Amino acid sequence: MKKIIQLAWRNIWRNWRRTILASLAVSFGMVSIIFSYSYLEGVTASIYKSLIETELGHVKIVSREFLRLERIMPKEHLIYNFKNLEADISSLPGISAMTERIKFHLILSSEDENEPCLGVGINPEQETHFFDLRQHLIQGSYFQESAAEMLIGDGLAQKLGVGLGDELLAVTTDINYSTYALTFTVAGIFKTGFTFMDKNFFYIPIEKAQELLDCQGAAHEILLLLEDAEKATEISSEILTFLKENALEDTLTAVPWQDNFFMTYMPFAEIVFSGILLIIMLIAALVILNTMLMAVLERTHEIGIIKSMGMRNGGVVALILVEATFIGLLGVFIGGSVGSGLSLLAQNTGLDFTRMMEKMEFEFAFFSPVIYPKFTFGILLGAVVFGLVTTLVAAFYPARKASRMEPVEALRASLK
Amino acid sequence: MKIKKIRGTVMNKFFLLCIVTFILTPHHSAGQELSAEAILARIDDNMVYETAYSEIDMIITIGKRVIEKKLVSYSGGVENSFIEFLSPARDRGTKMLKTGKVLKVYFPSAERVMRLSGHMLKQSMMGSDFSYEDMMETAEELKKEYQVKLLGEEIFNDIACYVLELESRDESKTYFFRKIWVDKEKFIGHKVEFSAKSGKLLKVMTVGDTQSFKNRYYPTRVTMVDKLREDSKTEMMIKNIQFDIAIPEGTFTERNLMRR
Repeated sequence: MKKIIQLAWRNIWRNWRRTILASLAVSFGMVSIIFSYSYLEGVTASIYKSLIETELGHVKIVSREFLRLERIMPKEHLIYNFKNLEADISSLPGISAMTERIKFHLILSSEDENEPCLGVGINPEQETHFFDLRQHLIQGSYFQESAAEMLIGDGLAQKLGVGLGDELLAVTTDINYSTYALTFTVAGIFKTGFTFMDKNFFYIPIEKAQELLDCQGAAHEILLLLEDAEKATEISSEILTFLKENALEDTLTAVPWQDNFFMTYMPFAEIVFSGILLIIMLIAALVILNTMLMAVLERTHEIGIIKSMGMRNGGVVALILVEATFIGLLGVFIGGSVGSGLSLLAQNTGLDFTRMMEKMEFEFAFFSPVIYPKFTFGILLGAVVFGLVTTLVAAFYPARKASRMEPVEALRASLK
Repeated sequence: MKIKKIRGTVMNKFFLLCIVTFILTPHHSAGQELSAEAILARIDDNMVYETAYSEIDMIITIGKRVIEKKLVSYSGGVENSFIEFLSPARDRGTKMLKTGKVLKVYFPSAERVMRLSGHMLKQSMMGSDFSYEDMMETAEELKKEYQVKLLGEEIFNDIACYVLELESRDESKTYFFRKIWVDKEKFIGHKVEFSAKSGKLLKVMTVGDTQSFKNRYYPTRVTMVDKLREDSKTEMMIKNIQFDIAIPEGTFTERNLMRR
């Protein structure tokens, strides 16, 4: 065996061009797999992150009716005295942040334009733990002392023809069907990259939203962030028990992020992603297979000679497989390094698809236009195993075929 | 007139259809029956006035909730109207001014005027089943924008009625069709069905009470049901109405709108 290894080592460097070519095929496969896997993991993570930050939290406490009619957002289905509820719930273990929101349809009116849009009343301080608008401001600043300020999406600002410091009239029907209006100053303009949000959303302090809707001390949803996202179901059921004890379970409910209807899209998305990955793996395998096949069958003459010198079939197979292992190891090393390096680089800088995404409008924050691939050691390990196994499998068939040739035939075939 | 050639069977059928329709359609040659246009004109006699002042209670019922609002309204001819809400507290002081096709709303809480136009006029007015558009409409516009057809006669709520169908000349009109049940004696529209071009029923308006005035009948209790809202209706009850009285000068101005 030692001899075979020595022979194999010598062989691969004898024709180093072929070796490098075969290794590069393996590397190419490795890089594609590592990078696309990291990228898709990044997309998945981005979807979860955006949805949790903008819509779901880890756990959402909400009126059952508001949840049922989520798309219409009926203003009157509120959580009253949410401060008390929050105080009670905060004693539960594992909660890292809590905030509340009011979401409602209304009309924003500038001097020349009226636009129906979506207002979100937030707790400016707590909200930063969830959807940190400060990171998306392209003009102006986050909420200051004065409460009659709003942060507005850049698309919406454009539609209304307003800029920083301009005044907007917000008109809405309150929970008692009165029409009420307040003026706000544009304090900041944000661009999240979620086109729908940038074109339709604005944020105001929750007290002002309560004043508009005539619902002091109430909110539409309480959102929780947990130390461990996986505990969401557990904590939701604890909250449900609490609601039951306080005779609130008929009106209110707690929803873990996994149960939200947005999440029902996710298994589908993951199937699509797995499919994409499978196709990439298949292409990588075909490239490796093709190269190895060529590399072995090219050497028919050489195999004829070593066989005529007395090497047995098993020896020939072993020789080629050991060579393939060397090639595989080299390819895996190059591909693994380059693939991991590229993924890590992209993970730090992010891949910006803002321009492409501008034309796509999802009605909720789906995935961010800047994707940060998510490289893990597991991905590298998987790719290494894939690279080596594919190389060996790819080498095995031509090795067996070559080993079974009669030496004379092999020599003659190569002389043609 | 020379007809070159009738192409294919489709055209043949079309011609045949035209002829048959012509024969089967009853003609109002007898003179006793009123034409659709004449019926509309008689409604106008009731509805059109120089000026009017009214005090109105608006009762919005949504599910089990009942919300009552009080307002006063001034109208000057076909073009102008001015509405001021007196109650409830959150609505008090909200005023609307319509001059021509422009509607402006003043909100006392913000001390600002909003100008409404286009699709904004289709929104619910002050939470009711009426839209701003519904409130602004005039008989003149109706005549101009719709083609009218007499469908027949029907008894509605024990009242003998003509049934008219109005079809918009403008494709983009919210209410493409209107079907009106018109009292044969008083020439008051007792019921109006508003439908979209697709035929989908959007709103139904019914008249509860009518009152007789010097030279006209006028509906004093009107109920509007927006079919697109869940379990909702709005009743307008005219508590007091005076026709052709002097309206204070400056009523239909923006200055009046912003007056505290």
